[in-house]
Amino acid sequence: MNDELYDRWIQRANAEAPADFADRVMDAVRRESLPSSKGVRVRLLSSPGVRVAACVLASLACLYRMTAVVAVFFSQ
Amino acid sequence: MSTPNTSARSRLIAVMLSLAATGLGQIYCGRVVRGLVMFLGSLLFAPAIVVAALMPPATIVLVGLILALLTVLGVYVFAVVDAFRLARRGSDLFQSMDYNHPLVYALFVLVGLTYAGGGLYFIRNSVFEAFMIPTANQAPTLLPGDRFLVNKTTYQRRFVERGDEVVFRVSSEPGLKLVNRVIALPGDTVEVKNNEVFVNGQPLTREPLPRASLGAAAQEIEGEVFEETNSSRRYRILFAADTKPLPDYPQAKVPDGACFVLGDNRNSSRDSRTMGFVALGDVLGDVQYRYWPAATWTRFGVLIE
Repeated sequence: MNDELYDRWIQRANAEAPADFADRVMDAVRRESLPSSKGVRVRLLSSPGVRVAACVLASLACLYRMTAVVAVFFSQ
Repeated sequence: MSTPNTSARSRLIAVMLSLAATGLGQIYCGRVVRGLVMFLGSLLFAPAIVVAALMPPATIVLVGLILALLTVLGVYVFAVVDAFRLARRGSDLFQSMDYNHPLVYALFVLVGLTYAGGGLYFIRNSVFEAFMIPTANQAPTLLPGDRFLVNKTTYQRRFVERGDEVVFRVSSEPGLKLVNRVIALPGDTVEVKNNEVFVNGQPLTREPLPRASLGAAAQEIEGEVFEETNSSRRYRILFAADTKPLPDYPQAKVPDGACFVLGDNRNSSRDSRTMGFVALGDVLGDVQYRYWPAATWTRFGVLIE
């Protein structure tokens, strides 16, 4: 019984993959729809306005954190 | 736990996350250890400042503190560039982990921003606070325009001493802070007569100093400079040219919980002679470092006494 299982496995393992196998897998992966929450995020970030706003907010956060580092030297 | 089949990392998101919280761009790109190291490294500015405040005052400590803070800023910048490169190098498929979740990112950003604000508040209120002196009240020790750091931890570790250069609140004028030198402590008797200072009946010894001892700052100062000794502390005082001595201060005993202060610029100073004793509770800390000196950078560093 085990010999039979092994033979089936070795046949599958030795089988040649089609030439475009990897491309077809990747295409299928890309076609896979995103979960709804991720879809919303992707759609949001594809909007230029949202991108600019997010960039501005992130830059402000960075500026704020950098200011906090050197603010010990800001004098009264 | 991982979730395969996720799109490649976006360079824009990696950079934005790294801007919002140092190291978050790396975590977004799956480099969680590198990201955490950078995130924790970005938080080191507050401990660095606390350590500097607890060390004995020395110019090398100030230089070390400045270098440490510049290093932290360098980590901020490097993290952004590194996140961009990681996202660009990433393959089409990224194996998303449980921590690759917007809520985790939001938590990192929240911690980073809260720490920055809270750390700054704590440092300015309890560790170091920077001041700029606009007057010649404390010449020749501090010249107008000097920026200096006041250590607020000093008097949590020891009592005020004679000769300390301190910043204090003026209780009669809310918001006003002055810098003067402590001359007498609670229980001492103090008197100023003909510009000579007596503490417990003994005159403070005073030696004239050549102008050359002021170095490059000599051109900013006109008048006679002396080195005064109070207890074991020695410091410089100035009798500025074209000034008259302030009125004498009659002998008085310093009450409990207060001290008597004088400006180093003895003829042109607002101090205990005109506004009375200073409550010890109003003393914010002692002046330790000139980090942005007026006139010449040779005066950079720890206050020379």
